[in-house]
Amino acid sequence: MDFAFFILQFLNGLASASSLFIAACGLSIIFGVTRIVNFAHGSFYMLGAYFAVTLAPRLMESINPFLGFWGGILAAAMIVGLLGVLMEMLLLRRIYHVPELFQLLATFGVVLIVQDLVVLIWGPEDILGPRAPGLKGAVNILDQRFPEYELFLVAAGPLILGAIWLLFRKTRFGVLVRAATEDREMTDALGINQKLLFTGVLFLGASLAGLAGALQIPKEPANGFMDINMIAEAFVVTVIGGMGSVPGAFLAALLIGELQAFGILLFAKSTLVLAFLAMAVVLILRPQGLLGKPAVNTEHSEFASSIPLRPWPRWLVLAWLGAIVVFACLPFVVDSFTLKLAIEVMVFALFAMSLNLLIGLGGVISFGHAAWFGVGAYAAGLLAVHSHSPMLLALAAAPLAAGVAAALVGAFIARLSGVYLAMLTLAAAQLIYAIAFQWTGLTGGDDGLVGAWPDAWAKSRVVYFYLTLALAGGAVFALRHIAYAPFGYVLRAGRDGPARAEAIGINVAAARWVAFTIAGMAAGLAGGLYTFSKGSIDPTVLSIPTSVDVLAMTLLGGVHTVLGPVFGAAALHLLQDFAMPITDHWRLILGGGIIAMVLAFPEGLVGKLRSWFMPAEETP
Amino acid sequence: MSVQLSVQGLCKRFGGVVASDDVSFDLKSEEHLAVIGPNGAGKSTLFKMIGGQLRPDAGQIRFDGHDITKAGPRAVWRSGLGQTFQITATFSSFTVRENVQIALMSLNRQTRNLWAAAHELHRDEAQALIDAVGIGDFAERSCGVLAYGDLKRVELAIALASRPRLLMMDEPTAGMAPAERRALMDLVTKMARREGMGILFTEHDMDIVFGHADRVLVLDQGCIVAQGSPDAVRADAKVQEIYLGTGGMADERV
Ligand SMILES: Nc1ncnc2c1ncn2[C@@H]1O[C@H](COP(=O)(O)OP(=O)(O)OP(=O)(O)O)[C@@H](O)[C@H]1O
Ligand SMILES: [Mg+2]
Repeated sequence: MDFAFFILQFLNGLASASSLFIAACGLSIIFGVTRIVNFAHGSFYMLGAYFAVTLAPRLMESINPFLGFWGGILAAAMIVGLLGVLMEMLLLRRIYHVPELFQLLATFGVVLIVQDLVVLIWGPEDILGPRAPGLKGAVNILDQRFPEYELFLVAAGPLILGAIWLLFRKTRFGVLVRAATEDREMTDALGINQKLLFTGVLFLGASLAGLAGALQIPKEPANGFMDINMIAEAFVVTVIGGMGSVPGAFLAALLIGELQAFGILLFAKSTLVLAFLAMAVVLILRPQGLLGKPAVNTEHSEFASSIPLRPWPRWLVLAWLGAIVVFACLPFVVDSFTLKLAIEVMVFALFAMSLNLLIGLGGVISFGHAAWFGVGAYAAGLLAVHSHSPMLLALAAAPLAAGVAAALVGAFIARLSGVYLAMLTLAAAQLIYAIAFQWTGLTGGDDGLVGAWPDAWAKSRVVYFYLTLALAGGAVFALRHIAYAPFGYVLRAGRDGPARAEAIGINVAAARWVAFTIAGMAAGLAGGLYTFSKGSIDPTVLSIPTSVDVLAMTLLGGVHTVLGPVFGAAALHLLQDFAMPITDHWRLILGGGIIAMVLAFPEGLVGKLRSWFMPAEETP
Repeated sequence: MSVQLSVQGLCKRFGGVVASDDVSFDLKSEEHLAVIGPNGAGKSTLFKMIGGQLRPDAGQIRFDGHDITKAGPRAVWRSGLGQTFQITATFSSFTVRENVQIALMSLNRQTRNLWAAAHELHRDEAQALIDAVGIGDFAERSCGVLAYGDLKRVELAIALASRPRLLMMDEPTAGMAPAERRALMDLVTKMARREGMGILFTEHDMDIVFGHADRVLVLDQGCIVAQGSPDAVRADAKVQEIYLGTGGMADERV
């Protein structure tokens, strides 16, 4: 590697570090003050790009190219800032005091809504933006050509950092933002000012995201994947830098930018792997991130419940037995298509139950549960397609592979908690997604694997139905059993009162790790069953939307219920199946539904039913 | 009598605040020792360092001859030290009895059991413990709906479940009516005498302190300013000065 090349690669790294920093720092600022991890940050970024490709060309024509371009960029950032204000006033204000999981889900609801709105307004095609006037050429650096626009980006990051620094030191607003980030209780003492502060912070954070997206347009067309692609990287940057720290985000962006610039020479395709490994190393050495403050150990989990797990009354046992018998008779009365639906419902019921072991019992917010479902699905699919193994062997490999993967990831994230854990599970899922997507030789890449059909004896859908009923049903009831066993109690104890649990000898982190592994295995089994029910598998099973679907199912059923997720899975999957063919706006509906659910009945369907049918706990 | 707990030169600071400044004392086996002092004196900090929730900046803690300075809460508990917190911590989604059952499951190393019905494990022993602290009638109630004073009793029962040799209680009777406080402390001290258990506790109610402690230790701004028999401490000029400064010795809050 000669010197000139090295310098150029370094400059490339700086340019992408700048983009990353501008995109991520707003996320960190918003978290610092409001303690909300704003998933919709990626949507702000994408909207910034779309507004810029719409406004800039028009302004360039009507005013002049230079003023028009930069005016368009700034206007896009401002509009997105105002949308941030809108979101704060309409949604965030209502959820500052709900558990973190609900906050994450509600902001993800916004992501889904924005995705559909973008298609509605701008159409499904990518939109090319104009090049920056005056920065279209390239300069010579050590006899190598380097684009002027990239050079501008190299400068833009430090400029923004400086501007934020001035804002935080010299204005009253900035001083309040810093104070609120340092001391959470202070914000409650602010009274009337608090609302203004939070709204202002959303304007600042959202407009920064919008600016980052707008600055992207000379390099990449505005497209519908910008939000999800960006949010995973922004999470990595904020976590490495330390949640709430702007200089930390800058350092982390530099680290990731340079790592990717040089890493691309080593592993051409999987720069995300490098970013993730960097994050793992930083978190092992400094769990609070480079410049973050150590998290205060909360003595009380936000997810604590006051509803005991009572043994089932006799009528409920009988009702379940009856329901299972009726369900098992389905093949005699329904057509093949409905049977397929029933199989999928069982698969998702197991998937949702496995997630509820973590969330409901452990209070562990996993936002990347699709990872384990996907690992199981791919393990089964790879064995079936590449080595033609018998189906039962492939089905046995699914939970094993997923369990091993979950145990590995869990080993270093189980001791974390709250939003850190949520973001890391998501990052881990994105990493596995990237592997499945990019390792084309093994996984078939985007197209996935085809031809993973059941063995001859199980080809008939009726046989596969009973096989799924036995395996998924058995696993669901095994998970239910665990909830009533000492280990289930230990998990709940760690959720309700971690300090108390440790003081009676319970190793909370170890219990969570075991739960992570068991949940991974159960999700992996669901994934394996899914593969053979479809005959094919592609990376969407590993994607964020899959993780969110299963979260929505769990939530819909009720996290503090034992078998609620089974109903949540059935309800959501059936709804999806009926609604998808008749509407183009499924994401809009799902997103709106998730937000409504978080606001209206966070205890879930079954939780709601229980509060109607079971006598309430009276206060002595 | 032999020394059960020995604390030597404990120091702890939080930023500029010195919460513990060269604290040294011994607790003999079966002794009932009270730690008093105004708000912010460093009582809870001291207890948390002994319990393993906080790591001291300097100093040494020995329990039954073992160095537990660097031990975490789990190891401290296994070595025979039970603990209740100033901010009551129970498991809100458990029934009162289950709160004690889980401690017994942990004691019997059943925390990885995926099969047994937890609801049935150690039921009678747990019931006996909650009967003993006076909340036997609430056995099936959820802890999430109990009154504060009853939660304190649940926590006490949890701490007693492991049959500790030393019971450490941070304001065990806060939030209770005066008559209830005395009754509870009578009960705990009687139980301790019977089982040969040492007690280390803090209290803002001076009647409780002087009525139930063998010896009293006074902390102020992280330093031990006096120690001795209840009568001697009550008569100490320095102690009176500290308490007059904060509104008298009967100062009490929830
Ligand atoms: N985690 C912490 N971080 C910063 N300062 C702390 C922390 N814990 C305690 N302090 C400070 O240390 C000092 C001693 O606190 P501590 O809780 O030990 O007092 P205390 O004697 O138990 O008071 P009280 O009677 O109000 O319970 C106080 O000034 C307190 O503000
Ligand atoms: Mg205290």
